[in-house]
Amino acid sequence: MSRLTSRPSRARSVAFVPDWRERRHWQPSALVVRSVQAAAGIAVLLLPAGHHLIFEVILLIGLVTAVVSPARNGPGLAMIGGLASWVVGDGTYHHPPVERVLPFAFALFVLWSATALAAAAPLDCIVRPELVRHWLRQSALGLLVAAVLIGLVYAIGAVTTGRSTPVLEFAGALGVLLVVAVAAVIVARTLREGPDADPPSSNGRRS
Amino acid sequence: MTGSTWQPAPALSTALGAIATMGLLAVALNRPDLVVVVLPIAAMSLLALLRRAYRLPEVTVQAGAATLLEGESTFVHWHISAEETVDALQLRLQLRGHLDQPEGGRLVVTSVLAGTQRRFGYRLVSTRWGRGYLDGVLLEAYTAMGLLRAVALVPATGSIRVLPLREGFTAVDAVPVAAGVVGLHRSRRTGEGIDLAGVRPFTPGDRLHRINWPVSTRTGALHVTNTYSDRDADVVLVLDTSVEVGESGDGDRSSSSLDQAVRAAGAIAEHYLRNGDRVGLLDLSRPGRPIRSRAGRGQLDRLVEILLETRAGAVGQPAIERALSRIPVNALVIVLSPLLSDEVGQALAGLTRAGRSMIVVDTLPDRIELTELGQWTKLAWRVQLLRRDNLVAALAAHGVPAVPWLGAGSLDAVLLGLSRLAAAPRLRR
Repeated sequence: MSRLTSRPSRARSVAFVPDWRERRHWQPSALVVRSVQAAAGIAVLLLPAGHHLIFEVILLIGLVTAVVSPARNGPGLAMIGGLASWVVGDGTYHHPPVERVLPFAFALFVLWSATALAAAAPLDCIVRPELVRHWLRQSALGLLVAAVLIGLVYAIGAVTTGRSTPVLEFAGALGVLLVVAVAAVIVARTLREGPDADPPSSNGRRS
Repeated sequence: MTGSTWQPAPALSTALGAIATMGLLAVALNRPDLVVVVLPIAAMSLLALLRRAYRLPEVTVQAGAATLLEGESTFVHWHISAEETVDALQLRLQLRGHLDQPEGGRLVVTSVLAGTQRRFGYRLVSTRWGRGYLDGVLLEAYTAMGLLRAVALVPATGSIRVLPLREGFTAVDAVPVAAGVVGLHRSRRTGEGIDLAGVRPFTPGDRLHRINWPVSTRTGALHVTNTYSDRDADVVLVLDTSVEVGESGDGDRSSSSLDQAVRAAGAIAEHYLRNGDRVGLLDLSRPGRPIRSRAGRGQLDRLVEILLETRAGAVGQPAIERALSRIPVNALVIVLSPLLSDEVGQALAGLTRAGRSMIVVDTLPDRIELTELGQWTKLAWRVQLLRRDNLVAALAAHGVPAVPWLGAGSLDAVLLGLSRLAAAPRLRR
């Protein structure tokens, strides 16, 4: 009968753990996108000549929001802060030199573009290399077109220096409004056309 | 695929706002630099909108294997094709069950060019026995360099069976009561077999090839070799699922009492079924649905399927007693329990009093992680362990051995003891 008695109970180690389990794993690739965003934001903050605390605070709040939650309104706030800083930085009617305009334009573009990418890439996602390559290629193309247009703007500026009249300024304002209106019409038309008109099928493929 | 239409993303309103404001300010303040600073954004937006996509890409996702063992891994294969360029495609895989992607891959962002296909895979690891499901993919597509966005859902794509890890269990071939006609276990009766029971004088009906010639020559009378007959055994596994203690091992390989019980049940069932015995299963949280004892490979598959569906659930003592009373009299009952339930303990004591051969396999893990819910958690656990010790002592007093689950050879000593006890002469009252 002695064989049938139970074995002595083993010493059991018990670990009491706090009741939190959800841990987010940030991916390095997503963090790289956020770093580019932050670096561009800091450049936008530092490049204007004069520093105005109110705009800098707006920019910083917007930048932090844009880095943490890029799909919300933070990017807009960062752009407002950065652009306002730039407009009043050198004095409202002062013309800053090209060596400062171009880096600022580039930093602003990188901030906007990186924020658009960050909105598609949450911190816990894997950013595939082909996406980064595609984004860089498209951005380079945009910058190339912008470089041509910037050259044009400075060429026109050189020709019209000292010849500005109220009529010319009014025409310019109308031109800007026209460009914005055309852009709005294009966007509105483009949004009316849905992505997929085909009905869903059982296996998830479109017919 | 079900999806929404393209919607403007925050980047679009930011770009339009910046372009309009700076354009107007540039004219009003006579500052061309204000146009220049937003020109890259304007140029990029215009180009992107002109080259935007109208249709969503096709996405399929599937697992590389339909059945895995605990801890085994396979790959989740993605296949994406698009008729138009989608600048960013966020793919969120909806996984359910004990499946994990340790190297990431549950949330991936990629891009697809027009007319191309993209294939990639990420490792998928099973962390616990049971069933895992790929419930579908939530797809978020961005076109026009993130200016427009659309969301769609790719429906469910499949399930994965995760079999409990069987720890190579083996046991001596002694069973207290061997039943049936043929099998591998030595029975208490003499007959056709291999194990020597003794030498006895020849009686009419004995087979000639059983005659032991050396003894017959020496004694001058015919003697035959007597052997024990080989029979198979009827084993019923009783799974105590009334309580589950400990954290189930997602990642760190720790296990709960239910994990131990299911793994042990799988290993024991496989061992006895491979030896030609009949094995049945009774899950105490589903006492009305016992699995009848059968032999063969099909029974192993059936038992594994049932084990995969095992869940902890409370059950009353009367239901347990009713279910236990239906177990065949000659069966070897192996109870897999953490011994933390009084109802189960009392039901087992009743079964022993009825003269059944029974072993309790203690499935309380060595290392337990308990969620600390308040200041009384530690004290409550100590009280629970004291009650458990009392239960183990009470079962031992009734002649029910409780052995911890240690894998191979766990039950050998107890099986031998039970066999000897069953072979001993009994006092008939």
